[in-house]
Amino acid sequence: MNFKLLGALGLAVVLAACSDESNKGASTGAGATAQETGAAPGSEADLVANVGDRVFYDLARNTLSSDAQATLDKQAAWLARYPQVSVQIAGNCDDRGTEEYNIALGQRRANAARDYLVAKGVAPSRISTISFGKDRPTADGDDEQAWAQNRNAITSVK
Amino acid sequence: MTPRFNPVRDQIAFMSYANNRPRVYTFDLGSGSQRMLGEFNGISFAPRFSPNGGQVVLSATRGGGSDIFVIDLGSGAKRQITSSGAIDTSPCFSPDGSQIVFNSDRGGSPQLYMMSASGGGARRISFGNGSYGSPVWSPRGDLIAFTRLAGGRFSLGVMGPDGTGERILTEGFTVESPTFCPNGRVIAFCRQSASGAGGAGFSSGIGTIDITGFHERPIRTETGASDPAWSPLQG
Repeated sequence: MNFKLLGALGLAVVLAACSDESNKGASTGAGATAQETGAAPGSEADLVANVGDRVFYDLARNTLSSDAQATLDKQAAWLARYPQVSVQIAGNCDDRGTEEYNIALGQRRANAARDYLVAKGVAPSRISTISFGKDRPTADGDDEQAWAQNRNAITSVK
Repeated sequence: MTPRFNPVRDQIAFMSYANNRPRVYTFDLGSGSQRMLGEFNGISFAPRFSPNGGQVVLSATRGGGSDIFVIDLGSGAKRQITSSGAIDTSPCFSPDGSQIVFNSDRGGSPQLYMMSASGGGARRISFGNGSYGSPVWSPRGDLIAFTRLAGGRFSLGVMGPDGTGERILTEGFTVESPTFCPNGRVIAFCRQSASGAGGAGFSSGIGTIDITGFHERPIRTETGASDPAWSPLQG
């Protein structure tokens, strides 16, 4: 966990987020090919390499672009192929919002991705959701490009 | 995250990602006992105590939004006071306990709203450029401190509870999470800088500023810090 409570001496504070957990599997996304990569079928590595583990959102939005829908279509097909697999969808935001608002916005994004997968026939019981708000950026830096990467919903094998 | 002091008891409320299940907890500083507050299917977050310390107002995600609830700490009873379907969060009681200011995107963008503590009659009070968030009521009752976002930059300001007299006190890449000192004259807040490649140049710290907009100062902490909460006066 990135956060620890500090003792209170008049002010209680929380340690700032560090981004050492960022960058794992960055920039896979919708461009992944269906080629075999040696990853175990039905594994997290398989999902990342051959399906695409994340979808991206426009600023302050939770609508699914055609690219996002294409990635989720592939995730739904992959989940149909590996019915024993359960996943978590984590919604994330760029840092141009408040801490608390972005927790809800990230959850809104995770739920949008989940609802799409469920509409494509994935059992709701196989999908859990969570939001990390703006605290788990996958791309370092504060420019439009990094923010676009950080507005996402990331699917991972549980 | 987001620790908040109970105004009358040695207790804080906060949100934790323990067990991959983000929820609000209370923690008794004397006994060290901790408990999850209420049962929610979604994420519970953004807790703040009522002025008498007997209740916590918080929000919980549902569908595409989040609702605001008041939980009685004695009985555990949970009362839902918003159900807009939008994101309603960052609720904060007025010092007399009769009203709640909160953040909502029910009108499209995140703005500040005021409602009665029982939940009725929400009306928007923020009308400047951009979006608003993290409203907090001054202990004196005369001001709401808030975060405003416009043009990709944050500013921190105050306005009257009816939305009039808005003044920006300071601004920056990120300035948020205002919290008043007990006499209402100084606000502590979090200031963060932008990060470059590899996270270079990022810093997160606590500062204070007078409600006049003068005397801004950093508060030194051993590590980076965010989410300040100013304690009540000790008896």
